[in-house]
Amino acid sequence: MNVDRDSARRATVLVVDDSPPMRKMIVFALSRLPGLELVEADDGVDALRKIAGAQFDLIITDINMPILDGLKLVKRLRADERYVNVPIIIITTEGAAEDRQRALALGANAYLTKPIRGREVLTLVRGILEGSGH
Amino acid sequence: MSGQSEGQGKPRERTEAQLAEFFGRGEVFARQLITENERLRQEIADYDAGGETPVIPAGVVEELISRVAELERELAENEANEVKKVGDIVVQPSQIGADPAIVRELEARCVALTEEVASLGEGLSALEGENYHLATLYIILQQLHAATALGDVVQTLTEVCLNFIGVGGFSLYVIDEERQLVFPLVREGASIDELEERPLADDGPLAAIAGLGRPWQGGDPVPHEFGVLMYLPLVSGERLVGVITLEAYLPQKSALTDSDFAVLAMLSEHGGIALEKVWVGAHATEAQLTRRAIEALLFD
Repeated sequence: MNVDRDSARRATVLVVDDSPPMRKMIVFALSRLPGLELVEADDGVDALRKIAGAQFDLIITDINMPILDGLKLVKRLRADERYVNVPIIIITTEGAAEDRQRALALGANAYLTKPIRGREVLTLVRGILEGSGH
Repeated sequence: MSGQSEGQGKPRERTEAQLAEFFGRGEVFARQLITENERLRQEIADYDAGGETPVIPAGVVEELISRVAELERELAENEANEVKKVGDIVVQPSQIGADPAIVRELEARCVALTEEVASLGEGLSALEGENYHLATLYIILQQLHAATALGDVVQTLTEVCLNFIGVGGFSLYVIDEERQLVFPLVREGASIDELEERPLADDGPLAAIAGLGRPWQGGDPVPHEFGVLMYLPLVSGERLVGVITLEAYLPQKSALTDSDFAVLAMLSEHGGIALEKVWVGAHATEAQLTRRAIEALLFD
């Protein structure tokens, strides 16, 4: 795995969820990838603010959040050419097939349902980051 | 003298006869040579014209036989030094003296090691799962004990049920000790208006958990009834402070796992403590920390 040492810049991941324990669990799971920089945001607006101020290699977001939900966040990012290619993973309690299809149609790259397993998230994130050259 | 002349005449005749015979034979030999020469010329002409298989030059056959022998020797050596692979490990007999017994032993050890590595991989995977589970418990616990307001406790209980256990329908009841009943405070997945106050002294599972006198633990019976997957008491010490009723799984969830039961057991104890703590905190009067008061708590 070359997420850390081989890249000139550390891979940076933004974790967006309004549930603090959920954010902590995702961060904990991803802390197994050495050298990864993890940033947290507690809703879509907070996420947009942080995205504007830094370069992210991956965004992980919940759907159900106050102010700006995860689907609107994906839509906003995909409409901006600066973020068209940034991978986005949705992690949500919404397990219906139509929710999944809607999220993927808007431009999300992957869709996981809660409750999540740490290894599942870790494997997905590692695959996406390696696939994008990190 | 005449005898000598006669004697001299005879040898001459013999000599002439011998010369004639010699030259006669020479002529025959010369003709044979010419004939053979012509035949050889004809063969060369045929060879040049490609009409006949060339004769293999002397020595080539011997060289070829020698080369074949050499190749057979090399083949025999290669068979003796045949490289064997066991999993990802290469065993080359020449490197270990080509002792077949050692090779077999190494092969057996490699197979055993391969199995051990696979077993360790499974063990590592299980440890990672356990590590994640313990981290889940720690984070939930931390979140509950950091709560200073009732809203924080309710929010944490909601997030745990929804995000960590995978229950999409549940209700939180809190106790009214004065009236000896529980009343619905929040509900997820359906309208709270459908719920009513419930007396603790009914005959169902609510009465059973109310009389437990301690937090629910993994291994205890799972109190349930139609429409409720589980009644979970929230207990602080021996004091029942609330009840969570788990009513419906998320679509992607179909049953509770051992990890879920461990989280529920922790919620039963620490959710109860967190609820009581914010209740006590809400009714406490502000008081400065002083040495006298602290020592009085310990020694008086």
